Amino acid sequence: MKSNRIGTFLPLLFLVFLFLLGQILPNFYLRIIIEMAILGLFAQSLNLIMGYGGMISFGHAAFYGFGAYAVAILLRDTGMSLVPAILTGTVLTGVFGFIVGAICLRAAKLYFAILTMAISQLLFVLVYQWYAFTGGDNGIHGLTVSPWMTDPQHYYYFVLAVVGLCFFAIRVILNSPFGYTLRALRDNQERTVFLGAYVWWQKLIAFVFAAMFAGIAGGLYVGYDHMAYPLLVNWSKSAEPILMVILGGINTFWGALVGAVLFVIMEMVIGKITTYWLFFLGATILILVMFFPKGIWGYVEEKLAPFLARER
Amino acid sequence: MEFSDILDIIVGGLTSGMLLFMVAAGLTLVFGVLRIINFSHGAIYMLAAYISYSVMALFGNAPNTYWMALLIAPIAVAVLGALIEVFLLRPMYNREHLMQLLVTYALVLVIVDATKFLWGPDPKMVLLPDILSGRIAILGATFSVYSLVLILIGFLTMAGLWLFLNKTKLGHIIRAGAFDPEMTEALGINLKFIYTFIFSLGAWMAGLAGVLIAPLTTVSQGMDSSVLLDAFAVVVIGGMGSIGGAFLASILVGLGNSFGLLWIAGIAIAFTFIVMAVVLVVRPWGLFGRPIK
Repeated sequence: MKSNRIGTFLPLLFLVFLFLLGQILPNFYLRIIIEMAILGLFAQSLNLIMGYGGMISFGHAAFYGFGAYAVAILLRDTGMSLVPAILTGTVLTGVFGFIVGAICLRAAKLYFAILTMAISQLLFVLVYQWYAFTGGDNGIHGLTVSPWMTDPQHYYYFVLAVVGLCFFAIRVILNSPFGYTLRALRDNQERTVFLGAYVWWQKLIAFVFAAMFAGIAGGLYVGYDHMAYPLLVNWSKSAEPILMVILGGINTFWGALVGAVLFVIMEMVIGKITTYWLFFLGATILILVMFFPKGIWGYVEEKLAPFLARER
Repeated sequence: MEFSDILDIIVGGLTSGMLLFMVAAGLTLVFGVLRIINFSHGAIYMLAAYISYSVMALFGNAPNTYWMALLIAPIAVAVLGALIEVFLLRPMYNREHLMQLLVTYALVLVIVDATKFLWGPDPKMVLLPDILSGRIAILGATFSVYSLVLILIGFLTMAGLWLFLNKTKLGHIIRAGAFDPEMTEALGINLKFIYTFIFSLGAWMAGLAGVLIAPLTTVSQGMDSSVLLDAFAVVVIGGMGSIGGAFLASILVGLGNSFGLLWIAGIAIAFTFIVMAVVLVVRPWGLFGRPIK
């Protein structure tokens, strides 16, 4: 792939900056950054299919929640430690994503969106009702992870490494021939078919990747909060990554992360002033959609275009 | 089990089914014509229920002021619906689907928080008028009059929508617009007006359902999302855009829930989604929908 030096250099510089932050910031702020990183990965996993594949999923929390519950149940029942639990959870989420994707991709566009939402809600009902296995509406609490992980600073570095690797992997996927075929499908499905792409498989594979990365984010969340609860699977959770991607800028790579960071900041700042923070979130979305459809990072990227490699 | 018990279960199932249909019908109508998934449908339903409470409080909170609420609240949200369509949705029609979804989703957040701000977090009671609050004996079982009235309203709504869409000129235009917007406009029909009208009608129906359900439960936060998800399930089962499909799916889900409760407590929430899962696997476009790739 062709990219100028700044495009690869800046993310590394950013990572070094985050590494140093881990040394100086107090735990309170590290926790916030952990949350941003986890949600950023969740948003990026959706961006993979929504921004680059043109597949609007309204049920992406199914995979975030599935990953979270898989890790939580593995921690509770098998005595696995966090890292193997997350790895196993990711594989399981991938299998689940394959099944869900195979069903949902029989439909396209809006029907696809509705199907993903319906299936995620099915999972929500299952999780909410199955007391013996998922703890029902109580969720699963009081999970133990290895003592080393309970220190916020240590967990900060762990999350940084995992999320960093995932972002790198997503970048590699997007810059591979597979990634470019995905963009081509988004822009003009008919022509891409004529060029010999196998649409269904192509989309399904992207969907499974997205599910797995969301599953990793869910697993990281369990390692952070030591619990899983039904709201992680709920449809309001599915809306969050969509809002983050739009907030940051759809069709951009870093928009998802920028959106997650802004989302967490907004929730903290506005949530402190008023209990009606969702009202302001809704109003913000309306304004963005109406007047700044490219999102905040999309706007910045446009201004920085002469200096940065634009990879769309 | 006595015959009267079975009758009781059937009436209970039909009542909840018809209430569900009242919500689902507006949702599927808007989808069928505008091709928009209206997430704010549930929020509008809740808003109308709150407005009905305030209307009754304004007229002295006597049970018989319910009729005023039934008249005013749906019209109020229909006006709101028309405003939403004109100012927020109309600029979105030539943008991606995602942007339209986001607008209706953002509206959920705004409307829900607005109701919380205006009416507070406490549940509100809405009283039934005297004439509807009695019970009536039929075939050895006693039913609440209101249940029977709700079932009747559900069937009348279905009949009314069918007659409207199939037997009136405006109905023909609406169906033509849903089938092929470009050609319909080329024939000199103002689809902008049709879209506003349909969205407003959808809001009116959501409002009507909200006011109708208010006396059965309390008006409270959260009533929007629970009904919206059930209504979505019904719309998906019946086939998106199909009003008849939504009607049959509502009856199926209503009866299934009330009979299912006999055997397994707690199946009520899951039943709807289990049916939906089965339908999705067999026919992803729903019982009466058309496959669109």
